[in-house]
Amino acid sequence: MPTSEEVLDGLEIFKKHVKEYGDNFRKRNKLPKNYDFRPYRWCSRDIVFSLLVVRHNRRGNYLEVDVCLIANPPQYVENSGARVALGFLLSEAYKCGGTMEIVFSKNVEGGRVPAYICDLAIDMGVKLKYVFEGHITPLEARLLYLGLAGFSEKAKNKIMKMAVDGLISPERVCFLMMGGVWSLPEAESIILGTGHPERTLQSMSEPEDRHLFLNDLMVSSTAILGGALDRKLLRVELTDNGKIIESEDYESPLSIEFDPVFFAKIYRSDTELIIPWINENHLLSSGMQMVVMVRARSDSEVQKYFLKDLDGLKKLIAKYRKDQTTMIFYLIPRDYEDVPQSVKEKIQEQLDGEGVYLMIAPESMASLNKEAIHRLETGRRTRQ
Amino acid sequence: MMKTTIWLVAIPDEACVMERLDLRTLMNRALKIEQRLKKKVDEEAEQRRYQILCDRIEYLGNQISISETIESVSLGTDYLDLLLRIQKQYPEECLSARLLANFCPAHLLEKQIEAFESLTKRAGIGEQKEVRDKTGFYRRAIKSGCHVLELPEFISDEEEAGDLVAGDLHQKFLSLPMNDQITTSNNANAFIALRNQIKAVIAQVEKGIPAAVNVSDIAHNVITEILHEFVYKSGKPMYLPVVYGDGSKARPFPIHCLKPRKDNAIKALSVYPLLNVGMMSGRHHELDDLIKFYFYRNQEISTGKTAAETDETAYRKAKEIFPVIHREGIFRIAFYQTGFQPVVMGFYRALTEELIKREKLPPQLELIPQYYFGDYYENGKTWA
Repeated sequence: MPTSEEVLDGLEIFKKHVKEYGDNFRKRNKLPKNYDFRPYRWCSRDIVFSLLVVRHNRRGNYLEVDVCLIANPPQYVENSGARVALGFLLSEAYKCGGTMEIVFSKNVEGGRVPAYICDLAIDMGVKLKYVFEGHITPLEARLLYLGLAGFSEKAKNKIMKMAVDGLISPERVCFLMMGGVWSLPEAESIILGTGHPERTLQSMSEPEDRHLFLNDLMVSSTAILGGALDRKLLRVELTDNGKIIESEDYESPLSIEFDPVFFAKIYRSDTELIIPWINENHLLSSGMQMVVMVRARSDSEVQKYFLKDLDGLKKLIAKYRKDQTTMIFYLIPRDYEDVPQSVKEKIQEQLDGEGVYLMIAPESMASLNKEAIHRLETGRRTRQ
Repeated sequence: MMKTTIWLVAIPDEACVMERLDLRTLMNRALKIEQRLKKKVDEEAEQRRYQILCDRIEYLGNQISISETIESVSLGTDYLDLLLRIQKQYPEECLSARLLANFCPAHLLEKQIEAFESLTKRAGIGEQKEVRDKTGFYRRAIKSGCHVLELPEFISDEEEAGDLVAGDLHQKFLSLPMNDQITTSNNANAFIALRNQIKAVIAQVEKGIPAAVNVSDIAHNVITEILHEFVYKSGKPMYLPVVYGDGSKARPFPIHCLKPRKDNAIKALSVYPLLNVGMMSGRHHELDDLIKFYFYRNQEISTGKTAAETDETAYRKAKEIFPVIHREGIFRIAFYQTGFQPVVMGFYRALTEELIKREKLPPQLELIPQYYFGDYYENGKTWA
C-alpha cells in the first residue's frame, strides 16, 4: 500500500495539476487535448474513490498517469477504488487511440503500478510483468479490461470467439459497455441474442444496406427495451427531508440473466420489488424469479406476430415455470395501446390462459428506434 | 435468438396506390437518393431521407399485402447470412446490384435478378434453396409485370447457439498475437518518436500483432517528413495501419513503395514555374495573397466527422483531382500546409498512390511542402 508520504505528495501534485488545468483551460474556456494533462476526481456523493491525472503520451503512444490515488471505502465492495481507477484508465487508453499500454510516472508510488491495482489484477488472475517499472502492457490491459467489464462466462466466451475469428476486438466490446453506449445487460443481450453481434456493436450497416440495417436496428431496439426494464427495477428512490431523490450508487440488489434462446431476461432479487408496467400489483420477492420475454413490436407487428410470440411463450413456460416461484411476462412497447380493442382483448385472453402477464413499457417504438439509431451512430464512431 | 426473415412480395402496378401514397413514387424517389448517395455529398441527410422512404415503402407494402391477394414467399432465416457472405466477398458488386435493398421496381427486375444470379454463382451458393426461391419469384414477377418488395420479419427462432468449447477457446484467445512488451524510451524528439513508432508498428504488423500508428496531435510537418522517409525508404512494400486520437481507424498508408527520382530528372523539371497552392482554404488568411488557389475547400473537408472520415474525404477528393492535373501536363507545386492531420494524411496517401502510378514515367509532378515557422516558410523534402 502507498505510504502516507506518497499519498500526501500525490495530493500536492494533484492540486498543482488542478490549478494548471484551471489556468490553461477552464479560465480560458478551452477544452484540453488528449495530450494535455487532465485531472479527474471519481466520487459518489461525498466519497472519493480515486484521484487521477492522465494524458496521452504522443512520443510513446501510451497513456501516461501522473497521479493515481486510490481509496478503498469500507462501505463499498472490496477494491472498489481500484476498479473505478482501472476502468477509467483502460477506457481512456482505448479512447486516446494508443497502444493500450499504461505507464505510471515516478509520482505514482515511486514509479510502480499502484498496489491496489496489483491486488485487483491478482484477484482477476492477471499477472503483471512490469509492476516495478510502472507499466501495464497492451496484453495485460486486454485481460484486465475483459475481467473488469463483468460479462457473464457465456458472453465472455462469445467475445473471445469473436476476437479469435477476427470479427471485433475485445477492447472495443468492453469500451462500448464501459463507455456507456450499452449497459452490461444490454450488451449481453446483443452478444448472446443475435447471430452477428459484431455487426450491431460496430454499427457496420449503412441505412442503404436496408436488410442488414433493419436487423441491427431491431436488435438494438429490443436490447434497449430490456434495458429500460432493468433500469426501472434497479432504481431505488430514497427520501431526503420528504423529497424523493435518486441515489447514483444505490441500486436494488437484483440479478439479471439473459436467455438467448427466447431473447428473455431473468430477474431475481434479494428484497421485495414492485413489478412495474403491469395491470395488477405484484411483488418480486426473495426466492422468486421473473422471466420476461422482450419484444420490441409496433402495434401492427404485435397483431402480425402475436401468435408466433405466444408459441415462444409456451416454450418459455415449459422451460422455466416448474412451480409458483416463477412469473412469466411478455414485454412490449406502449404502441400496444394503438392495437384495436377487440384484438387487445383476444391477446389478453390468450395470455391469461397461459398465466402470462402483459407488461407494457412507457417507451414507444419511435423512441426506441430513435435511441437505437443514436447508439448505433455512437458505436460506429467508437475506435475500431 | 433474434433472426430476420425476408418475405418477397409481388405488387401489381394497379395495387400500388393506397392511403394517398403511391408505391411507384416512393420507389422512384428512393432510387434517386441511392444515386445521390453514391456521390457521398451530404450523406447523412440523404441517408435520413432514404430511411424515411424505405419505412414508408415497407409500411405500404405491408398494408397492400394484407388487403390484396398478393403473391409472397419467405426466404427463411438463413437468407441474411447468405447476403452477408456475398457482401463480404464482393462488396462493390453487392452495392451496385442493390442486393440489400428492400424494393425493386418492375423495370429493374430483370437487371437486378441477373446480377443476383451472377453474384450467387460466383460466391458458390447458386444452388441454395433461398437463391432458387428468390430467382423463381423474380422471374414470375417479371412475367406478370409486378414490382417486388423484400419485407423483413423479425422472429425469435428459439435456436440454441452452439456451445463454445471454453478450454480450447481460451487457449486460442490467449495465443492471439498481441504486444506484451513495454515502451522503453520516450525522450526522443517528435521526429525520432514518430519514426520509432512507425518502426515498432511495422515490426508488430510483420509478426501479425494488431498495431497502428497514431498520428493525432503530431505536428503536420513531422508527419509529412517522416512519411516521406518511409515512402521512399527501401523495404518490403506494405500498408501501414493508421488510427486517430478519437479512435477512428483510417485507410492504411502505403510505405516502402517509391524510389527517389534521380537528381537530373528533378533538375529537368526546374524549368517549369512553381505554382503556389494552399492546402485548405479559410484557415490561414495571410496565405491568400501568396497562393494561386487552395487544394481543398474548408467547407468540404471540415464537416465535423471523425478524423478517419475526414482523412477519407480528403483522400477521395485528392484522388479525383490528381488525374485532372495529370491530364493537364507538368506541374511543380509549392504546397503550403495549413495543419489538420487527417487532411495531411489523406492528401499524402493519394499523392503517394498517384506517384506509384506514374513511377515508370519521367517525373511530371513535383510537390514541395511548405511549413510555416513563425515569420517564414521552410521547404520540406520533395515528393516527385
